[in-house]
Amino acid sequence: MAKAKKHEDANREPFVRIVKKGTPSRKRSVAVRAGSLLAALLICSAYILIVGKGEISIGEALSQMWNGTFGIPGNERSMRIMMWDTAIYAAKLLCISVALTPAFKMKFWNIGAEGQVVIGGLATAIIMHDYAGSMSKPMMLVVMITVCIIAGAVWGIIPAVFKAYFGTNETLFTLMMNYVAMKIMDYFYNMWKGKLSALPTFDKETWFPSLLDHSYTWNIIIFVALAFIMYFYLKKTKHGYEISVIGDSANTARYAGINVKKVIIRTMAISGAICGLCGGLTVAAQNHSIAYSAEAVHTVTNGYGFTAIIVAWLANFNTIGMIFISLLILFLEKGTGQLGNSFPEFSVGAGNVMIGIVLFCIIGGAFFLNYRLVFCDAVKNIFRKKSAKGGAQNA
Amino acid sequence: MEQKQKQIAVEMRNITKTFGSVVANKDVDFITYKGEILSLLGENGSGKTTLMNMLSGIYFPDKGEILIKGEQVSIRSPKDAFENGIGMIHQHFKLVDIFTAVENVALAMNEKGKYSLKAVAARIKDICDKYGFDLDPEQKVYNMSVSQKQTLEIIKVLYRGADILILDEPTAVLTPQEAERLFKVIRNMRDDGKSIIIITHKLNEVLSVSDRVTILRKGELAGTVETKDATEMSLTEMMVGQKVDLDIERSEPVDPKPRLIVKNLTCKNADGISVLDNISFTANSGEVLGIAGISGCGQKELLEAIAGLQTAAPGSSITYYPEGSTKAKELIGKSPRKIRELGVALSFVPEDRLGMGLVGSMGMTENMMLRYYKRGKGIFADKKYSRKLANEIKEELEVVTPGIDTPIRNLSGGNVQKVLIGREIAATPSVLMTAYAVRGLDINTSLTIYHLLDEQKKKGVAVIFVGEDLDVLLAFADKIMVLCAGKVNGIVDARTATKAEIGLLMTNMREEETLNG
Amino acid sequence: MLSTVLSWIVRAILFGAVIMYGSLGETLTEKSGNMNLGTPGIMCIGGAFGFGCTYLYEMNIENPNPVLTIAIALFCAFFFSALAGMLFCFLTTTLRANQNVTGLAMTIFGTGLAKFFGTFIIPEGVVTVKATYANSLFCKTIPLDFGESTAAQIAEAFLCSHGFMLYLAIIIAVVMAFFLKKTKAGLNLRAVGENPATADAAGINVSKYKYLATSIGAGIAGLGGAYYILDYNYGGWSTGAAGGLQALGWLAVALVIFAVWRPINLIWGSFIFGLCYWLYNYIVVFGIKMTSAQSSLLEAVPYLVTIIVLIISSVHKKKENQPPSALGLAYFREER
Repeated sequence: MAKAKKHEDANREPFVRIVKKGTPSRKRSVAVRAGSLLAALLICSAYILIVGKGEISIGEALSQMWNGTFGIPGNERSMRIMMWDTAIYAAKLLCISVALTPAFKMKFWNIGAEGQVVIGGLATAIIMHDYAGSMSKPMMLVVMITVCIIAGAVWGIIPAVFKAYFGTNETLFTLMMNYVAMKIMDYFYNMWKGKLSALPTFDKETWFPSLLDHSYTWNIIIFVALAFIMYFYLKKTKHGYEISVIGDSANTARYAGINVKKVIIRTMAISGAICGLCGGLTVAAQNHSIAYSAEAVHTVTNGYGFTAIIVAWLANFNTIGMIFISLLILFLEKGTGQLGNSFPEFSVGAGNVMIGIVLFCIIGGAFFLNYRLVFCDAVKNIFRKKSAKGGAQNA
Repeated sequence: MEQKQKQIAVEMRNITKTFGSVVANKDVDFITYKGEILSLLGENGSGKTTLMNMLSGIYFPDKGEILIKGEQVSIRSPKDAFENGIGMIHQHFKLVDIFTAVENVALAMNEKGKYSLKAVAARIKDICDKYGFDLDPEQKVYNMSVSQKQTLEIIKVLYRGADILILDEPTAVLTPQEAERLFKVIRNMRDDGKSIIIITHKLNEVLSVSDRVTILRKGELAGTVETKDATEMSLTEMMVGQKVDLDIERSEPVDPKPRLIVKNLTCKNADGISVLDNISFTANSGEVLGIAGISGCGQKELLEAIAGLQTAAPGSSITYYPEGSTKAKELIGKSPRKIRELGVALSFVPEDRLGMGLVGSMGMTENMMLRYYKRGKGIFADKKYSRKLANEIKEELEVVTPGIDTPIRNLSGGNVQKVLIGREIAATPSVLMTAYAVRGLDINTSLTIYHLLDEQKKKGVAVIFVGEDLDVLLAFADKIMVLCAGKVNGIVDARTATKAEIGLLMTNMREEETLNG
Repeated sequence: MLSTVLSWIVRAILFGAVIMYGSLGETLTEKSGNMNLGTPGIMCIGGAFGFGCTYLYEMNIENPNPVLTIAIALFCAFFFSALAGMLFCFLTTTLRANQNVTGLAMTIFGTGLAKFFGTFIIPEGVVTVKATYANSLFCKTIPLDFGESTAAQIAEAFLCSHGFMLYLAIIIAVVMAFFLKKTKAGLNLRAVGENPATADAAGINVSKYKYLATSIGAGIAGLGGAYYILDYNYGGWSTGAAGGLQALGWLAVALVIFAVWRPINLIWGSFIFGLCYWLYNYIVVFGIKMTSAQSSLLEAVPYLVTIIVLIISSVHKKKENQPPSALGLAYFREER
């Protein structure tokens, strides 16, 4: 016994070691995600209690958040308004996340969605502003859609070309492109606005046709459809296969005869084009105008160009899973907005804090998908003794 | 050598280490004495490096104890290892590319007094003088040759005052001259009272440089012998267990005809240095052309150039002659896809299996698709054919995998290679290129692979076989081309050539002699 | 004419100094291999807490002590930003989360926290609150008069028309350059960012260096936030100020690239960024008349210049001008 003890002392193991695991099982993924959300809920609850000085109950806060996202249960009008609003924003967030996915799968860190959306929206806006009435409506719509796709694609292709030929760091490049796009939009905004206090909406003749009483119904349909199309594009097509191979190893792709440069540029063109389409449709069907980049409301992107990166990553690049993640983000965003309206304690910024907490929990939780902690024998023994005791008691 | 009191430097007792379900080391005992050179011998995958990584603090043993100079210690990090006087020179050098030699040495040093790179440089010079190294302290690592980097690694370890040095496959990347110089330095260090452990699988090195040999087999200790009592034969037996029949099948070539003619092939790397210099040779159908050379002498680039993955300099030519036709096809300047579209049936088993030949995160089916996803019209990738093929290969080559959709990263090295070779052979090539096809595989899988390649040769395929083991090359190939620093130093008949002859061709000596003469 | 140029220089230096803090912090962080895209959020946190604490102090004390006022502002800005940096490092280093994603989440969190914290300070119904006393301290310039000649006035604009934070920024830049180039710890830190496996094998505690560099880096970036509110923004806090600070944070990330990861380059680099940023306001000095719309395009210049630097350094492939090799990658030792 004494000898064994001495052995243990000398062979001090590290208290806890981290071991990499293979591909996680489905059960484990679900458990980890649920655990992360639970942890987020706990922390947010504590946050709500502290900020509300204990006067706001968790249930009340959650129900306010629910009302702010999906409307007051039973009140049809409120539900209709809220759900439509949630749907269009969630769809927009979804669309940008979907756009980013092929690039991310290729390990091309496109964080320039913000700029690609803006430039697409601007291209459409230019047509709406300068060419209103100069062509037939169907023609007009076709041109509006085409230009935003082209503009977005160009914005995506520029960093891709430099990445493909010179290895220029795409994360930093696309990040900078965002601001260039925003400033160009500011230029047009200021020019059109002139001496007015705000930019009026564009000619109604150029608006996207409405459906089911909402001007942006088509947007929702198109954005959600894109998620499914992208799912099949990545899973089933030759292009999708090439993207996966490059994402794993560019060398293998070269070996297999895949033209890596071409695929990088093509994929970024697609990524940018979808972003551009999102921007164009938002301007044409939802905002009917553009906004100054420093303004907080009614911007083309709503800041989703950045949020979408998180959505795409949290959904593990599964574009259908992104539908749920987008809804979760919207719930947090709109719900906390409502919370702020109801309780002054939560007015500005509190929502973002809660979104941050939830994101940190999910991001941190992903660790347990790929790694596992191994405690040293001493710790294991404590657990073993405990469970042995428990077992004895049960018997 | 006079009889002297032997002091134990390191002792490892009952060491066990597992990675997931793989047992890398099982109950290994190991002893090194002060002032000796010990060879740690074993096949690839026998757990040599893992065992030493536990001494150098990279891994932590699951079980067992380590004693340094008689005291039990716990080595949890490389830092602990240094404090115990252990320094390891890894096969993949651990150097910071954009640092100078001095900066690399000064890294993580906790010397008392003022931080001064000048002082460090001065001490480096002392070490160089003492043991006979040659190194410019101000040179940046990215400008260094492999041998210079290795020198720097050794100096780094000595600088830290290590008296137990572990070298992992130190000669794998060196020319024989450089290796000889290294051995000289190692002997100097031994005479200075240091213990040196050399991890290797090369028998000639073991016999020429070491005092004692410890042999590992499949993660377990197979025994320790004095070098003077050992022979190549006895060591091989201990290394592989039972006496194995090293008879590799070699069928007689039937009706060889030129299949691939390479003329004046020159390739430059990104820095403008010629990695292939004016290479010319012919690969015949129904023959195995072995390629020998120290690793990094252009083997990789040569195969890649043929596969269309390297840009060749003007004047180069690679001509392909299809079966039963006189219409030659030029491959230079064509992409891999173009080459395939020309109808050139070229198969290539690259050295880096998971980094180049296969996709680790995908299953067998999707890895078959690497060749066949373009089949059929339309935008959808064809999976049917690949699934069928994956099942066939799994059956025929007895690939051990939970399923054809399990990521192949999770398979063992031998099974990964079977998937790769299986796919390349299934493409019914007329030229089959393999680079280090049996590296890291056990003997039985290796024999399977030689057999598969020989079958291809019988079918009239021109096989190009880049190998590292000269015995295998001599026993398996029909002709052997020896590369040295990107040049062809000679092409010999494998049935009549000797190991010594090839060894000589692998070095620069011959060429220098002709130049001087 | 001269007075316009002088005021342009003064503005540019002030603006540049604010982003210089962000860039200094981000440079230190990136040298450890961590790319913290949460810098804008962290600068907001620094601004909010630095401002908030000093504001509460001067509001509740009859005769605020000048040294204490400054100390409180700087300490709180540094401390809370450093905490945010530590959180980032915990997620990316210990839990090995993706750095881009974590950084962006940090920006959302940080701006949220800043705005939220601000509402604690701002009384209901008021948009802006001002820390007047602290502002007067941060704005205090060196009372030196070089004379009336053009040269003297230019020298004055460069040397002594600024608050102490500018000089502190320059000192930090010089110290950081010295630290990275001439000290043991600096050498080790660079090794961690270049090749963590090598650093680890050499016995360097990789995680420790990453934690320290990221936390201190975040703290330095946070100082810039406090500087922005208490000097550049005339001591006033509003929700809009947090938005402005966030936009500026992205410029700080850009400046790191522009300076090719060298602290000394940040000193003149930040001045150039400042000149570019304010160019639209002072373009008349070149005899060019511009509408406010066209001036928006000029605001894109710093970003365009950064893109050009990025392209040039990647085309040249000079080893010394590349980002730290392991930038953005998580390190795990027992990889097998």
